[in-house]
Amino acid sequence: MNGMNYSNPAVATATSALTPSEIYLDTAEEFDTSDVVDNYIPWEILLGEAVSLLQRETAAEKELRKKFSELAETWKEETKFLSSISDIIIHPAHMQIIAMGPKAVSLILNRLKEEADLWFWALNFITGENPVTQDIRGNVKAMSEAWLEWGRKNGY
Amino acid sequence: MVIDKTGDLSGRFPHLKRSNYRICSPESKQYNCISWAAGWTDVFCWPNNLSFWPLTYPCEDTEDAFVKFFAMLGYKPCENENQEKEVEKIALYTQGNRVKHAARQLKNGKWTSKLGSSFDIEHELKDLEGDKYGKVVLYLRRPIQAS
Repeated sequence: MNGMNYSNPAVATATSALTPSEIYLDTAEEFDTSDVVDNYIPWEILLGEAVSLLQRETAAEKELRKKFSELAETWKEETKFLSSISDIIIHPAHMQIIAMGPKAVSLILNRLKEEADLWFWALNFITGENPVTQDIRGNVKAMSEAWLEWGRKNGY
Repeated sequence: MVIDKTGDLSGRFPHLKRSNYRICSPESKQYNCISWAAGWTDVFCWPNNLSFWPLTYPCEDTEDAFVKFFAMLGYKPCENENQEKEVEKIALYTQGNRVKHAARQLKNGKWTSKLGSSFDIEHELKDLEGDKYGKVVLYLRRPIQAS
């Protein structure tokens, strides 16, 4: 059977009578295993790389949370005596939080769960959304709850 | 700058002397200086799309916008901060033509201010002038309302 031309219909017909194991044995010598050998990566290495990648992502998340927390505390402390929304919004720490983008949304919502606070502008800027209805404008508790509900509906 | 937990605000308001003010409430984010001047404690007021502000009023932090806002409550511009019988007064602080703060006069002649999202204090009017709130530039008055 070695060196047979399987594209030949006559041969295909002949081989259809063979059992699967017989076809396997017959075709084994035709099969080029060099690609598999060259590209084979031991599973131990793959697992190690996956763990390493996971650890890097976790470290990055931890760093982001730390940075967010520092900025949030700075913003809170340095704007606590301000009423001007413009001044509250443009505070550098607040702008840096907005610059974090979507990654900051869950962090902000976690803060809102702890305490109703003036995070609405940051959430609005980052998400482009506004779940605050006209009738609750200025009601900090109700506005916070509206955003938390938005978070629940959007998988946060 | 860190606030001394004993309540010394002089680091934030240089003209505010410890002997001349007292803290009168716990901290609250539910209302701000404008709300407090208007007599409210359950809403945050500011000309902004997410704060309480009448839809038809100018959405800008100018003197005119706040004069119109307080006119809704019966206040009209007046000459000075001098206490008058049966009259309530509000003072507006501005910086660079932008309103930053409002204070309301008390019956004892002193003034009460909600400091942003923090607590409210009883103080002398000019003691809050400075980098944060600017200067007192406008006074408003109305007959004392029946409580």
